[in-house]
Amino acid sequence: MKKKALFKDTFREIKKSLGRFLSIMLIIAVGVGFFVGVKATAPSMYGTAEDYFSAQNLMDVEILSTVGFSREDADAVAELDEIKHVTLTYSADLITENNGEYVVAKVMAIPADMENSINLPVLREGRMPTGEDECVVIKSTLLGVPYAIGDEITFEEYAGETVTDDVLSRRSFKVVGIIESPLYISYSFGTSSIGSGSISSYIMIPAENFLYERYTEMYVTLKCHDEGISAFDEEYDEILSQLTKKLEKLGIRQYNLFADETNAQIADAEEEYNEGKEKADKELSEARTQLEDARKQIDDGLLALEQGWKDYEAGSEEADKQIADAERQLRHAEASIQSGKKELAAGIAEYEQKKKETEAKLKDARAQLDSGWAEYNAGKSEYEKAEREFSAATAEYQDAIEEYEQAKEEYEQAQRAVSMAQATLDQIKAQIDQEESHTISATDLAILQAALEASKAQLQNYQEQLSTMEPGTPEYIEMEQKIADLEESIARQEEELANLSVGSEVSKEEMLEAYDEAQAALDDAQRELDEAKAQMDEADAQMAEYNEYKAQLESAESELNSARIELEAGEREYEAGKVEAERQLAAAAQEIEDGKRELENAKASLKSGQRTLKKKKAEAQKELDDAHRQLVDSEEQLDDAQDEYEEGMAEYTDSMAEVEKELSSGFNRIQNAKSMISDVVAGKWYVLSREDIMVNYANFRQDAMRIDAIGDVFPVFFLMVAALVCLTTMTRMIDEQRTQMGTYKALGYTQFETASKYLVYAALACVGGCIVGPVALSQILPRVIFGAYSILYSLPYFIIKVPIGMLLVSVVVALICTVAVAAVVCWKELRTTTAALMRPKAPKAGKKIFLEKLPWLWKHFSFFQKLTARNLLRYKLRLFMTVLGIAGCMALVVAGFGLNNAISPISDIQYGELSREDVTFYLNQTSEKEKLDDLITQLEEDPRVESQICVVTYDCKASDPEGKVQMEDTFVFVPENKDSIAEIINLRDPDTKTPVALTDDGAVITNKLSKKLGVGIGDEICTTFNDKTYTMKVTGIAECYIYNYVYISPDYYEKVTGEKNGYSQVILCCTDDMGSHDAFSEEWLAKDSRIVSAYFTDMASNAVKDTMASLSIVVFVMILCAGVLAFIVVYNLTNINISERVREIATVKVLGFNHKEVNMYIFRENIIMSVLGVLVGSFLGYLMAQFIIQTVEVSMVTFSHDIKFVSYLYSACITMGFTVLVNLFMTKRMKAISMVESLKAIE
Amino acid sequence: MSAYIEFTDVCKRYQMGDTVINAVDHAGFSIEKGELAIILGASGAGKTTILNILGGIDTSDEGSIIVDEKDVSRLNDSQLIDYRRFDIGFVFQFYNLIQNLTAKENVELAVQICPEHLDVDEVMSQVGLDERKDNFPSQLSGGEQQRVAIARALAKNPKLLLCDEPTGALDYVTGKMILSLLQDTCKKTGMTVVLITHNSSIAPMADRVIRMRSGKVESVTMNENPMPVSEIEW
Repeated sequence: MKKKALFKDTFREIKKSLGRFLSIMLIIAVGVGFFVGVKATAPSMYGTAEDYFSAQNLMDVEILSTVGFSREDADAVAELDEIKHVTLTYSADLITENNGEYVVAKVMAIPADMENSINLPVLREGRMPTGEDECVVIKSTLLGVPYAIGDEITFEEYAGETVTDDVLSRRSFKVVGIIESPLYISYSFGTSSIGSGSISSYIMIPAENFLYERYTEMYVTLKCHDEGISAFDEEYDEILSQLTKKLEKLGIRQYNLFADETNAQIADAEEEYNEGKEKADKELSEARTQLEDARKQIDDGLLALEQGWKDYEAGSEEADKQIADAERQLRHAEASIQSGKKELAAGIAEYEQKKKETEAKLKDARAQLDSGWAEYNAGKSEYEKAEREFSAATAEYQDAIEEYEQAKEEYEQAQRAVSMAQATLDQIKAQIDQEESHTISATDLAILQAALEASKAQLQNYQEQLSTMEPGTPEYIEMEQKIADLEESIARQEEELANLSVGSEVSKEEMLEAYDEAQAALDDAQRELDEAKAQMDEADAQMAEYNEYKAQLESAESELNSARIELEAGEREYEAGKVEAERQLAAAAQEIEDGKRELENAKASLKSGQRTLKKKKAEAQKELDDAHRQLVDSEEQLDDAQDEYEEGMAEYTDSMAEVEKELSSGFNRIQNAKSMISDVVAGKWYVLSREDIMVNYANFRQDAMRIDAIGDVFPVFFLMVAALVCLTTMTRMIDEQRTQMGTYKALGYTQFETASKYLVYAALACVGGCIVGPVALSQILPRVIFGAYSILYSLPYFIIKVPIGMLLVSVVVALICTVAVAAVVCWKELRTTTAALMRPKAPKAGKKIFLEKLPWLWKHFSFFQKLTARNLLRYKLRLFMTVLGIAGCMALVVAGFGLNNAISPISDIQYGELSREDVTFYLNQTSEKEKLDDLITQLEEDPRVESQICVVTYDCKASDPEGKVQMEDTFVFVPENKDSIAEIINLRDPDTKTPVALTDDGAVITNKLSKKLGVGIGDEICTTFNDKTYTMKVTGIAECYIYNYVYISPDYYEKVTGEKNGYSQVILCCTDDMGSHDAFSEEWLAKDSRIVSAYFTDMASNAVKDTMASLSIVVFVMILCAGVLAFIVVYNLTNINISERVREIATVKVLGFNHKEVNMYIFRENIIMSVLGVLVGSFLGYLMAQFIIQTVEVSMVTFSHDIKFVSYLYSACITMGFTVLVNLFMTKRMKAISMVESLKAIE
Repeated sequence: MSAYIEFTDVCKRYQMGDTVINAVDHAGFSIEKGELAIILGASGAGKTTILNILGGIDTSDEGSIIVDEKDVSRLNDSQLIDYRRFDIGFVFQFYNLIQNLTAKENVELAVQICPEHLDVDEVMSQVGLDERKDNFPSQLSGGEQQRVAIARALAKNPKLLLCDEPTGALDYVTGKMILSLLQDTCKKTGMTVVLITHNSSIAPMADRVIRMRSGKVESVTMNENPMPVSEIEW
């Protein structure tokens, strides 16, 4: 209770100076958190791996032997103390086809007893195999083959020189599950001696499928894991190396057992062999004799058969000839029958023709007669008709005569009328003449009257005539017309006359008209006369015609009579012809009948001839067939004999070969066994650790170590900076509160109680930071870092293991920096008397600085520059702390950038400037250059390929001549000739960038190799490949970032190794527009079976880029943390600087300094301190970056050790940027400082 | 025509938790040019606040403060800076010298920002510090430090020299020396000097004595014949 006020004071203090409190807390949080976080990464990586491995019972040791293992071997191993469990199993590398590419798969037996076995797979999908033909495959990775459940995997017949069927009982397996194996923690499955050399999949099949007699592998786990020894501990390495020795010794013992047993077996075998050989030799010689006899018999038989065939041929020929003759004769007979037939047919046709003709003639005659008769009858009826007509005509003739008489009379009458009409006319003419000189007189009238009278008379005349005429005749109608006309003219005349008689004068014209009329009448009369005359003539003609007709009739009668006579004669003639024709026809028919009969006879005789021939032919054929059959039979017999012989022979050879083989294999076995026994080394056991067999296991360990190493530098530095700042802050705080402390003390509080306020303050800030920082960052950082590494390693999960020791260490450091510092400072203050404490601490005396002793420099300083210089040097500790704090941040940022610098350009330089290759074709075997010429020619023709070169590479271990330093990830690279290497690789000096030539006198090695092994130009280097070590002379050093190479020319290779090298790869440079990679590789893999796989450099460069990107993330995290730290540091220090100098600031404000001047009064110092910090930090950063790069560098990759100038620039910008940012924050605070402060007494 | 310095109805209140304290309560007085004025009062009488307001260090809440026809109460922040810079010389009770600067440099610090400043060496000799120019404050006695402070204020050649208990931290003799230096300066240069003190015995040295109590001006008395400091005993 009594300390309530004190606690209140403490919490008020925190509230009041929350900024300071938080900054201490944050700086502790970042410092401790970063340290713990980075330090947690390696244990987490180890821990995760450890956890996973122990859960899957990962083997500690794999034992291989040249002679395989038996159960007894396993039992012997199990008896060793260190051994926890032993598993025997089988494995084989086999080749399978995937999308046209032949890939190597590691095939492993699934142990029968899964629970207790080693290297348990984790089932990801599907199920474990139940049937013998089922398998599980490892989860696909970028580099592996993506199998899916349900796929069928079929192994090729050959896997290198191994025959698959010798290894497995079946070649096809069905995928039923996807697994992960603890054996594979990276995405690569390691290498194999067959195929492309790299394993693409891991397949587990039931153990029953393996045909091996002895087990191929023995896996062993150790008991030490149960004792808590991690596989990553050094103790484990120790145990392992001891165990290895033991196992090797045991191996020799076991082998000797095996050898003794084998020796006994050999002796037996040798005896057996000799017996067998003897027996076999005897049997073989017997068989030989038998075979020779058979051969002779067959030869005889063959000769006889040949003769038989010849006879058969001759007989067959003869028979053929006879048959041909007979056939020819028959053909003749047949031909004559045919011609006879034809003749007969012609005769019949002729007969038919004649008969038809005769009949036709008769018919014609008959028809003629008939038509004659018809004509005659017609003529007769005509005649009779004519007779009838004639009698009618006679009557007509009488009429005509009458008519004629009448017409004659009429004619005369008409003549008279004409003359009368003439007279009238004349009269009228005269009248007209008269009229011409006189007027119409009464005479005229009289004349007219007379004319009228005449017309009337004529009319009457006509009427009379008419009455005589037969009505309806034309004359009658004519006459009627005449009468009508005449009546009309009469009427006219009467009218005229009337007109005249009326008294009016008749004009001359009328007279003339009358005259014309009269004239017309005259003409009419004349015409009538003519007509009458014509009628008369006609009647005359009719009469003449009648007479002619009569004569005709008479001639027709006579004609008729003559025709009748003729007809009767024809009839008689016809009858006679008919009889004659019939007689002729009968004779012809008879003749035909005779011909027919004759033909029938010929036909019959032909048929019988044919029959005879057929019969004879069949007989001959039969005879021949028999002969043939006999021959064929004997031939078959011979063939059989031959076959039998061949068989016998083959059997003989086979059995001989077999016997020989058996004998030789037996012999060999015996020899092998013998040599094996005699050569103890051959019977060695190879004891392999996890690092030896697991891909990237060593790298995993190294990477974790590397991160841990970074953790030793980076976060320690971090923590140091944090501690520094805390120290400064706490010191300052306690200094500030000096008088308060005096007051407490004066009030009677003990020293501890007085100090406790500050201790609690510091402890709270520190503990807060220690909780927040590690909790957050130990979860975040390992994940981020391991996340970055997940490009390289695949673990199924990630467990974070916070290293409690490290956490405690950092917490202790943090507590020291805060609480302990607080305690020390308090104690220092409290040591003085209370009274002294009550008095304000005398301000630190100003004094001349060393710069003033350099007047030539000092006097050039402006007033404010002098002031700043003095101020800076006044508080040397503060200056030191600030510069160091800023330098620390700067160094961290520089190191981060430097690291980024070191890794990011690798891929660009390696694949952009140094390596020009685009595609590498891996060949199925190493072959001589000449054998690849055709492939090269084909490649030259491909427009996508710019250049190509054959190379061979050997995976080797390089070391210095003493063998002290060894380098892995090194390749011996032999191009087809020393000049063409420039087409694919730019060999250049790492510093001068000038080209380095490959000569026949030595090797060009890459820069890292040279550096690590301490080998320069002119020195020697040892390379171990193909189990042999060669010493080479170094003639050049070339720049290279990925892997290490020893480049040698083929001539030098020969010089060093004593043999000529073959080529196993073809490296291509392609055009930029080569198109799809898949299409290219598919096309070439299909085109040439020697190409096993195509590897595109893009893949490598992308993989490297990915790795580098993952490291970049780590770097980015570091830069970010460093930035945060920089900000906090600068903020804190500036804050302290200001609060220390509030009074001073207030004073200069009172003096009338404006804001800018006041700010600059303080910030000038800040800026100079920052600049100093940046300079120092650049140097520190360089050292740190170098250290980190060396630590992080893996053997396969060479990092660029130069830090680019821009990296410094960026870092400086970041650091200075934070300073400026903090200053901007601080201007507000400066502005807020009240000038009244200046009036206060110094507390 | 108003006085050189004219305080009219000036109020200054401080908020202290729930209560409002009237540090200056409707204070009004005037000081003529060239006068040495002493503001006298007990602790908390508001004399320092008056001085702060006059010096442009603090602001008033009410009323007007005219200094040489300039209304200080209406000046904005940057005008106040200029006012302090060019018109005011301030002498603190605790000298407020910059520890890191020598005596001369402390004077120069003020001079740096003032164009119409006096010669530094002259002012230094004027205050009797010829010998100690290059000494740091910590090497000087209190009186010497205060003289440096006065020199720093004078070197700016201000219109007004404001002194906040200049003798408060000094012993009797030294205090007397400082006061006589101020009196002499006032007489010789005709500079207006305003001095605040709680020591009423030094009042006779002033031309004008303004007594304050509880933020109010109690009385203003004029001394026709100010007494030289050397003759004053306290």
